Amino acid sequence: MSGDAATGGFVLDPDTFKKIQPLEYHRRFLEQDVRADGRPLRMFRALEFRAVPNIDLPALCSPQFRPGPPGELTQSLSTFLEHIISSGHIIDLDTLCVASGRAVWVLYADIICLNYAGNVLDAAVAALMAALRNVRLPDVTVGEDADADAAPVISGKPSKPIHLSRSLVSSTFGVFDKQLLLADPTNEEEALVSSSVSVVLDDKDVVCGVFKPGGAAASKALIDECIAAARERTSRLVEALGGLGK
Amino acid sequence: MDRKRIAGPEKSVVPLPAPAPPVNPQTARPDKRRRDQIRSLYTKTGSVTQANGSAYVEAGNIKVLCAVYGPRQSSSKNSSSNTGTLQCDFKYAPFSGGKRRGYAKDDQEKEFSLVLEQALTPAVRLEQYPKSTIQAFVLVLENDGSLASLAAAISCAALALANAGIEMNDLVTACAAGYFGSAVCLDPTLDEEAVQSGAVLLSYMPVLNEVTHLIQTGEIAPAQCVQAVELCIGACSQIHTVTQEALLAE
Repeated sequence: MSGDAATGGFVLDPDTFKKIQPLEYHRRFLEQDVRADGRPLRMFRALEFRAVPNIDLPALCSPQFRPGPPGELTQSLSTFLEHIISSGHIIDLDTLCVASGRAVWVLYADIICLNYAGNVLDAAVAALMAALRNVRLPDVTVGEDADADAAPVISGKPSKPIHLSRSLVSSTFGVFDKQLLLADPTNEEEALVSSSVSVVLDDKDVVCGVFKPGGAAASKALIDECIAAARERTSRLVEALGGLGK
Repeated sequence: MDRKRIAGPEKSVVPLPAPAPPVNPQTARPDKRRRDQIRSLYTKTGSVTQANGSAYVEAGNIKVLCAVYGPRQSSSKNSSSNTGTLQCDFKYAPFSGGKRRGYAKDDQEKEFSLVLEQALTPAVRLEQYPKSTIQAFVLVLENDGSLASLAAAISCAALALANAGIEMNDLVTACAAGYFGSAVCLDPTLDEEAVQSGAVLLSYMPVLNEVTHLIQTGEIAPAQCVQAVELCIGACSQIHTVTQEALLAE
């Protein structure tokens, strides 16, 4: 029936076959000792490791914010943070594994701005990196019977830090009158600049993210200038601190 | 589901703590305090520079920040009023303790916002601010006892109001106490709170010698309730000297 062109020249594509004959579809795979998603029969799916960063700009931190759900700026900042953490492979995922295939750590990073004095992204990245370096995960034991609802229990063994593969530094520049770069703009300047560019670099001079949230268009030369200035600042910072917190 | 924030996995659990020896404040308090002893205080004013006034209070592990905005023009709904209004907002930070809290206010935070408003309003000279609103936002950064953190929030908000130059009759301070069998302990921690049979929260104006707010929960003999209130009044006067000094140091 499926794909047997010799019998009638009629070929049923796999997706249609899966829909009308799901049992037969899976049986064909299992006969070959493999499953439809490519896994061997006894292999569990890999659990997703993740960090969940959220920036909060509460009404407490500035008169320009109102109580309620986060605004567009806050949402885009949180999403950018999530991208640079996951795509930059900041956290060594093996250290977040509790029991292979059964339980992993989820790191919730809630970043709350207490006093909004402008350029919240640079401060948020610095706070996030400092907090990640300070993480101590307790040693936990997971019950043998894989009951998904049972919480792991903290054992008496000493807690362990997580391994960070790189440290990030964010450098933000406000673009004043479409040409003048202002490093680390204050909230007063932020209201006046035509756009802002944030460049996130790691301690080995690798660009891990560039963020230009809207505003006026900036030339490529200006973006290059931002990256160059960010590289200079980051390398000076790495030098001054003798490596970023290692 | 909150689509405006980055969500974690559908199901995540907090690991259970290792078994610890039971807490019994009747015999000995875990942090070796006397029953009538409050946690040591640290206060700072003006740390939120964007606000009209702000204060930060630490009581042991409890960390509370309050920012005051206003007086601002009231919304058209209640702008005809001859007296101003005081709006208070109490929020625990998601990371303030134990299980992670959501960003939306839960029932306890709504109730505590109301208590904060009721405890502070008698002290504020709202007749001086017609058609205006004064907003006080309190954020608990670390929670070590829910009533104790509310008490710290009340003292902190009063300090922030004073820092903002809002006219007040007195600087309100607050203190919590818990009942443990026949014993009354001041300023119970989170571990102690789990074993208490009742509690008192008292807000007080020490100079005027007037109580602005009092909640008592749990079944208790009248004499013991009176004892708890007296202990709280004494502690509130101690806290008042600390908050007053913070204002003088400005």
